[in-house]
Amino acid sequence: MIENDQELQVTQERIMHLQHWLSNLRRTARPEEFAALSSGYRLEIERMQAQVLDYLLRPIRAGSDARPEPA
Amino acid sequence: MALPEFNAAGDLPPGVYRATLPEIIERFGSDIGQRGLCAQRLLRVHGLAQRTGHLQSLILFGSYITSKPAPNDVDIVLVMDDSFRLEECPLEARGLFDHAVAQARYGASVFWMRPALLLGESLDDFVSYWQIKRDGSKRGIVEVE
Repeated sequence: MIENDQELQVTQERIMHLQHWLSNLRRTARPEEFAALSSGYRLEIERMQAQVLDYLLRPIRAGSDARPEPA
Repeated sequence: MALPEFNAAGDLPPGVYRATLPEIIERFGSDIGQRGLCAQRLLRVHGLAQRTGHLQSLILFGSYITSKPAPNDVDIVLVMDDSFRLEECPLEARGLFDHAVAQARYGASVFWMRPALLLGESLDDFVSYWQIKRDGSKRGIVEVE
């Protein structure tokens, strides 16, 4: 579970890294192996994307330091 | 390089350490509980991968190689050599190379790669990625000799 903005950023970077691998595997993998090969990276991306959404949809608590002061 | 002690976070210090399976089991496994279960799963996965005849290396990462008393499961990267052909793989091992099947059947989170499939990065770079933790820091991983 993502706990803070730093972990959010790291997770988003990790997602990009895995997507980059998938993009390369589309070009380099043999058709016979691509589905199995990509399955792990796909599931990992989906898992991390769900974590990102869970974090982004979690309301910031009133009085929290992360909540900006009204203008 | 001998496996170092855990750091204050309960992780191996950053780096890729090499160890034999007996050394790994002695250090991280046990006969009972969740660690014992993970040790059995590791042995099974390693045996299946090795019997393909194309296992180049097996990398361990995640909570099994930390001080966590009850690791979730065993996280593994299989580096297969470039002559590996999945469709020619022994039937008994084929499920190892589908992530969902490996999780359900062997209780292991398995990723795999062949070196020739990497573009713009070395195999060392690929392996090094698996050190990254959720907060962006790194923790050590283990390559089975």
